[in-house]
Amino acid sequence: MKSLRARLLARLMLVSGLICLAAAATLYGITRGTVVSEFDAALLAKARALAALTEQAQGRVELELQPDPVSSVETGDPAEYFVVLDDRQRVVARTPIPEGKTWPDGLAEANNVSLFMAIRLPDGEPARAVRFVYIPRVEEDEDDAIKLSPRSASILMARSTVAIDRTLTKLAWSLALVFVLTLGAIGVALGWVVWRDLKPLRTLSHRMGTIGVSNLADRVDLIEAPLEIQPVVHRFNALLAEIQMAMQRERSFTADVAHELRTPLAGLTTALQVCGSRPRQAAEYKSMIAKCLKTCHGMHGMVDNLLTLARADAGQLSPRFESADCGLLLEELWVPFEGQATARALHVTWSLDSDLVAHTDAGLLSIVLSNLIDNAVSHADSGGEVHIAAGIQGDSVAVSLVNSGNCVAPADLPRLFDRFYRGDQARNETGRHCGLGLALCKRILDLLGGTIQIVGINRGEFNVSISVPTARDGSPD
Amino acid sequence: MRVLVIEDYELLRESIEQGLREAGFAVDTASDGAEGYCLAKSGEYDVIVLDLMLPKLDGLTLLRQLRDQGINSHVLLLTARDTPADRIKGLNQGADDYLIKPFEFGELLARVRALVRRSYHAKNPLLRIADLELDTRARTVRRAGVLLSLTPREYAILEYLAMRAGEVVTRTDLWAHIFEFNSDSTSNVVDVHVGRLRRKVDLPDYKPLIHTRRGHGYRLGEEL
Repeated sequence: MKSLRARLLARLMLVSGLICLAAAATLYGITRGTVVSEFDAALLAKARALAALTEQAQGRVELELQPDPVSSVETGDPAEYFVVLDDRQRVVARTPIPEGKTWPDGLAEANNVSLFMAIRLPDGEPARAVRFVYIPRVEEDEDDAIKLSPRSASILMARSTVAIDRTLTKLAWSLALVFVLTLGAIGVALGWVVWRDLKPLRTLSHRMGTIGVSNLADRVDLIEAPLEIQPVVHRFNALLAEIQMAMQRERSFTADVAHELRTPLAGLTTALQVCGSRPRQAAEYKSMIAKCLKTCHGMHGMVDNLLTLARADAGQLSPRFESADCGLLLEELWVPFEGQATARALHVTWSLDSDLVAHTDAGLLSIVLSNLIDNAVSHADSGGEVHIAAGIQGDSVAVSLVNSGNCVAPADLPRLFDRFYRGDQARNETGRHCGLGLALCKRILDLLGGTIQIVGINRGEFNVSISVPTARDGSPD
Repeated sequence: MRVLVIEDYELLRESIEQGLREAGFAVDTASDGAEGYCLAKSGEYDVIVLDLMLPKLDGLTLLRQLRDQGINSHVLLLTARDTPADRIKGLNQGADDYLIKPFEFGELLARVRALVRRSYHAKNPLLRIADLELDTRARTVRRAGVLLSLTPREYAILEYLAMRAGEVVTRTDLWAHIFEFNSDSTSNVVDVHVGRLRRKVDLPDYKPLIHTRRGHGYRLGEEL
């Protein structure tokens, strides 16, 4: 059953029903017990009275008076039976049976053990019987011998229980009727209460349903929500805020991408058009072609970074973890930047520990290291210094790159990992440094289970450090 | 005519500079907003080509500051942002024109020339003073239908004088609008060039059109 209301109502009804049923059954049981025990008591009293009327004289047990026969109103048959037996099981007296009727079963033997028992009369009526053994009154003029050891007798008396059965049946039906009516009333009352008290849930779910992509700025009012639902509402609002921010980021990312690609394109277009506007010397053509090629490489690099970022965002980058020598990796990745470092007269120092084996995806880590080396070599001041260090720290390989000539203000530090954010909003000649490098590094390191942080920008230096796990258990699922 | 190009992307800046210079403009450049503002403040540029995304001082702020200072040089905005909102914002801040990157260089050139004409209230690309005819698009000069052969510098001086035909143009003005910052700054250069120009324009048998006003400057027009 999917509906909370229906389920709640059904269960409450079931429980109430069971409780009412138990109450009714208990009531019936108690009443029945009382009625029956009173019946038994009356029966016993009558049997005792009859027993008091028996006496033993001259070795015989006799009944002084016969009680008046009691007959059933409906059938005319006896409603009350009794039989008195002496100690030799000979009948002393018993209820006269009308012609054609039989003595009821169960009354034939007086050897039954139970005091009270339920039996059936010949006409099928239910009855209860009482039986006990007693000593009949001894006459005064009897022998002493008899007086000393008197004979015993047993009496068995049975009476029809039709009347009380009828009463009890009436009681049972009354209780059943009351039970049904009560259950019905409970059902109505519960139904109303449940409907009313679950109304806030309906209102809430309706409200939540009205918030969509077009009105993400709306929030669900926390005050109206019931206490138990408030954490859900709170989380829902928080999720809306997150979605809003994510969509905003996506929009500005797309705008930024368009802008970043248009700039080098504009440069290429204008340069080529101006170059082709009149005849020129071969050397000039060569120089222009070289510049344009450099720009194309820069755009290529930017597009690659963008693609990798987009893949990372879409969850399509699946790192393949294996052992990778970070020291070797750094040395290999340095080679393409050597020329630029020399051209900018940079003083480069290395400090690599041996055996820097990390458990990581070498290809993705290469992108990170390459980006960081590129940043260091490009942003160091001319004639400045670059220092590359790597070592084992705990269960990670830590790599740090320091370059002199920092131009990032401390206030801008938190934004360095934002996409398209650049330290001074400047572009270098190729447009390659469009602000994606650090964002991409962070994204990839998240995937590899590593970390990146700007260690410091003190004393005109820019110090960035990354770490990747060395052991298998360091990697994420 | 003198143009200032403020653009931080080197390849683009250098290409625009070369293209404009080859089209006869005197071109100065700046690679960031602060430097650009310093140069633009002088108010001596006919047109300023301004990129919006600049380091140190962004384009719109620079523009607003220029206008607040009362600098009325025509400004052509260059940007990659192409939404109408951006265009409206730029034009409202005081820009005269707007070009979206990437653009055709020919269009940039045409728009710059249009802004120059606007500076001198000359709607017609063809300037006519007496029997002297300047085609500012083709950069040709005819005197009585005969094509004159002028150096680019001479043409520029003549064009400027023609734009301000009838006015007395001081040497300072001439120098400011024709020569670039890294040229020699002696006013004698101006005189030498005007002299050479006069020899080509005011040929014998023709009415003199370039007049010297001693102590003030030069004037292009009919003799008074």
